[in-house]
This record gives sequence, structure tokens and C-alpha cells, in this order.
Amino acid sequence: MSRLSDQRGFTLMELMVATTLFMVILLATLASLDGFQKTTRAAERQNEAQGAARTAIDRLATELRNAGGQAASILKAGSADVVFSTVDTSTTPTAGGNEANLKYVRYCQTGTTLVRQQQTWTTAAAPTMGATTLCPGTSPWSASTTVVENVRNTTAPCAPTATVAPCPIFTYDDSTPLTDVRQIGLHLIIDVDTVVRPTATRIETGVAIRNQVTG
Amino acid sequence: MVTLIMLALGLGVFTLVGGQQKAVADERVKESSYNLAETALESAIAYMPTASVSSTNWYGKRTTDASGTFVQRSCDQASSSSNCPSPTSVLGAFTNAKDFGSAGAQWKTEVWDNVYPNTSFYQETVTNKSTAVQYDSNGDGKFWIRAQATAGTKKKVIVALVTPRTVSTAAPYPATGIQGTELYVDPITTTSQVIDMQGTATTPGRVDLYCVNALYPPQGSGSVCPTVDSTKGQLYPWTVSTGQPGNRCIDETGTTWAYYYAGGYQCWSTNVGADIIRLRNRAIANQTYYNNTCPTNLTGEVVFVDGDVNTQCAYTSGSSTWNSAANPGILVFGKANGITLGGNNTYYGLIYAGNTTAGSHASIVYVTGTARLQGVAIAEFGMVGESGTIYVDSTRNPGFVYDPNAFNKWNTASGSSSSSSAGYMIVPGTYREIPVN
Repeated sequence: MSRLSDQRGFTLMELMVATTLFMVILLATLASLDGFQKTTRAAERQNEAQGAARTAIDRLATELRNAGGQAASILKAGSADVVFSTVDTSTTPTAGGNEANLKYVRYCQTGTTLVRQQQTWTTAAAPTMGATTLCPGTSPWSASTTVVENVRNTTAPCAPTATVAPCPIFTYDDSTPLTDVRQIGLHLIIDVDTVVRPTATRIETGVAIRNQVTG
Repeated sequence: MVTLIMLALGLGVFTLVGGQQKAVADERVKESSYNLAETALESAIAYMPTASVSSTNWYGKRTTDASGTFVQRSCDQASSSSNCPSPTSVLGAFTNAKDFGSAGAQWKTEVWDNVYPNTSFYQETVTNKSTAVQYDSNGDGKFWIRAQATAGTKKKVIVALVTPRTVSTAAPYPATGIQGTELYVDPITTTSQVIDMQGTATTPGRVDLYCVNALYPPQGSGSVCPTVDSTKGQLYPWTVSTGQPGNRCIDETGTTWAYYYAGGYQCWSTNVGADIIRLRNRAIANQTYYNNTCPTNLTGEVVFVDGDVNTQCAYTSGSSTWNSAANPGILVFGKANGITLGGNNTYYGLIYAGNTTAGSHASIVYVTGTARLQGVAIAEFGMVGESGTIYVDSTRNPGFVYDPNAFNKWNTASGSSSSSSAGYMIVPGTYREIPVN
């Protein structure tokens, strides 16, 4: 009772100790919050990258399932570069021309990006496939569109089954000759930041080529 | 402090895992929907009625309701028509409530003629527009089957151009019982080695040989092509056709076979190359495909021996019976170099030797010991000039018996038949998933 009625207040030393303790606790809390924010942001970015990769691999699988329309559905079978013939369902074909509405579609990796290109035509006879020495290729290939970013296949192994990079994006059950391709494996290693966690994620699927007609 | 740090890390990981779990679940539902659509498509093809495809009364004819409005015909999970896939069989594997929700799995199949916008392209709302027809109106024997399925909120649509299976049987079918470059019965002087080519009254057997130096009956000792003495009853009845030496019915490149023969001598099937590929696929599906090795058991609808093995498959002991007269099989040596059927073994069915590997082979189909081959024997002329020889010295009487039923089996097993009951198939290259509106 006497302490409460005491009008002397706190000493300077008491205030300094209290303030110091408060600052330490505040800084620690802020550090934790900052860590939480960084972790959450990194997770969100990785999540978004994986979502984009899933969407891309879903689209790629659909296009590969539709590959066909010619004697050879698969025109190039590389580890990071695939070209196939498929049907363009987005447009109406030209009468007397390319009535099956075929087109060539190419997926290839440049740097840490997987890009898509296509080659269309209106003539009845299918043209020769454009050169594929560069990725992205030049005319007659269309301008490239980015399908997936943060692709680390060139620097990462196909863990856990492999320990040495690179991890091929495209694998085939048999690609010699190209008419023997029946199944294609798709493997994407996604990592937004190779230094900061979370670590890389591997997204995969497999596609059976329904329209291969020979072999 | 430590608790806060752990909480921060945990929440971050939870954010990542939670998002990915939902993405994986969505992916699984989409795949379920796709698989159901594909099952519906295959079932629709299997259940396709085979008669009168050009009739407006066929399958999905357009009818009008009381007001004269066209009514679209389709099959779905509630259909009971015999022209529709069985809902029970379609839905048999799709019972996961997590994927299909309270509404259950839903599917629908439709037939649309390949008219709009042209005969080779399917376009939603154009090919299946309201005035389109649901029978083979242009008479080209082709039409689109559209199959859609819904799992949860995910809908998938697959289309394929479908046509009746093609007729592949050529003119001499099913008379050919033995076909090859040479036919030997050894020794030529004996009366105990016999080839019975009687067959049935409607389908008697015949020997077709790619050679020209034949002696016509009665055959004498020392003759070649065939080296058979009919006066000793070694081949009865005498129905030997010869000519065009050095020809063969198929060519082989890598793992493919194609019809090769271009001369005037009729091959028993102009689709033999495609037939062999289908037989190989059938054998793979039946798990009776042997690559670079010989099977120990020859029983089976189709047993396919493949690979560049420069040796024959020999069965020179034992008394096995493979297949039966009522249910003969097919034994194909795609690349491998034929068979020695010896011991007291019996094979019922058709033996086909492609003879496509390089090397010298005495006999591609060799029946010896006291063995018997009852069915058909075909040995192609070799890719680099080897004889396609059928050799019979079995002392079982007869060592070879022609059975036309074995040739019939070839057509059913390879999917080639002159009968309309062979059903329908997808036109190669036309299968596709289309965007859902």
C-alpha cells in the first residue's frame, strides 16, 4: 500500500532496463515476422510457379495426346525439344487446302524457360518442318510464347532416380525411328530461387500417343 | 522465439502443401473425367450397330417431336438401347465418389456424320450443328463419334473418326493350305510320309509355291519344287500351283511389315503386312509375344516369335498338343527363323514364317519325328534369297493335315475379315481431345 502511494516513480535505471527489454522482445518479434513473411512469399512464388508448370504440362499432355494426322506424329524427339503434328482446333480449315487443319507444334527449352511455337499452313500438302537448330526457331515458326519459367532441368538431376544433371524434359519409350514413339514422359524441375527454400519441385506426367499409325 | 520461428516456417510450408494438394486433387479429377470419356468412346465403337450405316434409321437417326423439332439422339449413363454402350460396363471402374461427387459419373456419346465443315475435320458446333445428320449420309463409311464425360466440375470431350474394319482377304482365300518356295516330303520314295490337303468339300486345300521348275503329276523321284511323289500318296489331292520364283508377300523394315509382292502371282492377302502388325499387337496384349527367345508353350490365340535370332525354334521331344481342331491358334515367326516340330508333338493352327533374317535356313517349317501339323503352313521367300521351305518327314500318317479353320482364325485374330460383323475401328490419326466450351 505504501508502495502504491509512493510518488517517487521509476528511476532512470529502471526505465532504461525496461525499455531495453522491450526493444529486444520487439526486435525478436519483428525478425520472426520478417522470416515468416519471407518464407510465405517464397512458398507463394514456388506455388505459383508450380501452378503454372502444372497448367503447362496439362496443355502439353493434351496436345501430345492429339498428335497425329500424318504418317509420323512425332517429327523430332529431343531431350529438351519436341516437335509433333497435331490438329488445330481453334480455326476452321480452308476448303480445298489443309482440310484436316494440321499444324506443327514445337516445345523447346531456352535458358530456364520452356517455349512453344507452331507452324501452320493452308495448302493441301504439308510443308517441310521449319529448322529446329535454334530455340526458339525462326520463320516459318511462329513467335514463341513462354509456357513455363524457372525450369531447372539443365542444372538439376532427375532425383531421386538420377544424381547427375541434366534431367531431360522429354523422355521416350523408343524414338528410333520416330514412328516407334508410343509414350512420352514429361519432366519439369521447377525452382524459383535455387538458393532460398523451398527446394526444387519435380512435376511429371506421361502421355500415350494414340495416333501413331505405324511401327 | 523458437516457437515463433517454427510457426513461421510451418505456416509457409502449409501454404505450399495446401495449394499443391488442391492442384493434385484437381488433376486427378480431370484424369478421371478423361478416362471415363475414353472408356465411353471405346464402348460406343464396340457397341456400334453394324447394319445399314447409311440408313436414316440407323443408330442415332434424327427424329422429330410433336412440334416437328429435330430431336438429337445420344447415349448416356441411363440408356438401355442395344445400340448404346452398356452403362454398367462403362461405369464399372468409375465409382470413386470423391472424384465424381453426388451426381456420380456422367457420360454421353453421339454419332455425327463427317460432313461439316469437311470430311476430315471435326469442329464443335459445326460438325454437330443442329441441322447435321447422325448417320452415314455421305456414304463414305466414316462418321465421328463424340464422347464426353463429367467428373465433379471437370468435363472432357474426345472425338474420333470411325470406319468399318476393312476387308483384307484376297481371292485365293481360304484355299491356300501350304505356301512357300519349296515343299519337300522326305524320303521321296516312301509311302509313309503323307500330306493330306483334302480340307472340306467347300474349302479344299491347295499348295502354292513360288517356283517354276515343277513337274506336274504324277511327280517322280528327284523332281524339285515340289519334291513330292503323288503316286505314292505323299500329297493328296494333287492341287499344286507354281510360278513367280523369288517373290514374297511381305517386306520387313525395322519392326514393320508391308505388302511387298508386285508380280502376277496372287498373294493370299494383300494386307498381310498390316495383319502381321495387328497379330503382333494381339500377342503382346495376350502376353504371348516372345522377342529373341522361343516359347516353351505354343498354345494360344496368337503366339508371336520375334527378333533377329538366326536359329530355329525346335520342339523335337515330348508329346504335347498345342491348341485343338475346334480352336486352332496362330504361330507367327515375324523375324525368327521358323520351327522344327518334332517328337510326338501336335500343333493345331496356322504357322507363318516371315523368313526375314539373313542367313541360310534348311527348312522354315519342318515337321519331323512323329509330329503333326494340322492347319496351314506358310513360309515366305527369304529377304536375301533364302528358300521358304516346308519340309515334312514325319512318320505319323499324315504328318500334315490341311484345316481351313486355321485360316479363318487368321482373319479374326488379325482383325481382318470380309464379314461386316468385324465391327468398327478408329481411322488412324483422328483421335483427339477437343476444347470444352
